[in-house]
Amino acid sequence: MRSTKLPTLSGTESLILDLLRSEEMYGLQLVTESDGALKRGTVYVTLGRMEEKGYLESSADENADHSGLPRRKYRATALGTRVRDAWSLMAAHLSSVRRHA
Amino acid sequence: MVRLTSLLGLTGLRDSVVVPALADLRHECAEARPCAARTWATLRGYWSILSASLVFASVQPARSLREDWSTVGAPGPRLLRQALPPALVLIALLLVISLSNWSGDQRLGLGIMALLIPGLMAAGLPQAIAIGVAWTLSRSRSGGRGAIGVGLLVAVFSFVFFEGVVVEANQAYRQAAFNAATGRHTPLPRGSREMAFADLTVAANSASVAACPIKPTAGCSCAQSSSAEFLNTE
Repeated sequence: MRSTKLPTLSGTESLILDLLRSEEMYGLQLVTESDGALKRGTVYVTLGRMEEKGYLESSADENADHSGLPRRKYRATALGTRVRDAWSLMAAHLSSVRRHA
Repeated sequence: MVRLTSLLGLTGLRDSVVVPALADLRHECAEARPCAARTWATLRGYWSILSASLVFASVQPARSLREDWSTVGAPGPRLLRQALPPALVLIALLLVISLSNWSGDQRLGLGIMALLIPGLMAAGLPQAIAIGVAWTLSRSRSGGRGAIGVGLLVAVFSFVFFEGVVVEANQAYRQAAFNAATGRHTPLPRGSREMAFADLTVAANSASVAACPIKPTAGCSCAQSSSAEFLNTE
């Protein structure tokens, strides 16, 4: 039997998908762009979890201008974008329901 | 740090946390111009890698347990189902060998001898499950996912089984054997193998108070020694 589990999206994951909507970014860049909403200690764990869920994909930046480990660049997948849009729609609908209650 | 995590087999932590964080840290340090800013960036970066590793280490085991046991077709229950038949065969062999070699009073009969089975199971079941799991994993290519969960499950079961069942079965066996051998029905006091942990704690505290009525404090020995010579030499 197919799993009927709905895709979930936490506040942090939603913020990351918002930031990655227009361009792909490095992990540290996401922390900077979030104005402190994302923490350096947890962003990489969250990015790894989102990658497992299929919301993000990453690639090594081979054009790194410094020797050593290649930096990892993250981008939103189509699934991640659709999940983000669906949750935004639901949040907006629930807000209107609460306003009219 | 990359080599350390690889050495410890923490490939998930290495690939999702350590490598990206370290790469960003090196870039940030290279971009920082004054020496103090570079030092601050280094300290902050390594602190973030450490805290990210702690978060990953605290979250990942719970996630692995959940994925290995609660999803449809999870490897944990499948491993347990495959490991149970060989484990049951081993347990049956253990019981047959132990009970057939039992050299106690043959007048007691099978009913009373059956009271020994919980005690044998408490020792034999974890070993039989471990051998069953090892045998299953040796024939399977799916890896050891679920093995830790099986171990935890057996540990909890063993604790509860010993605490609640074995002590009562041992006491019932002792009483039944005494009654059959002597013809009397005097209630027997419980020995150390017939007490639950709470009873053992009470008995141990009572024994220590009886042996040393003046409680030792501040690293001193018991204030009442049984040897007069020892007291005289102090």
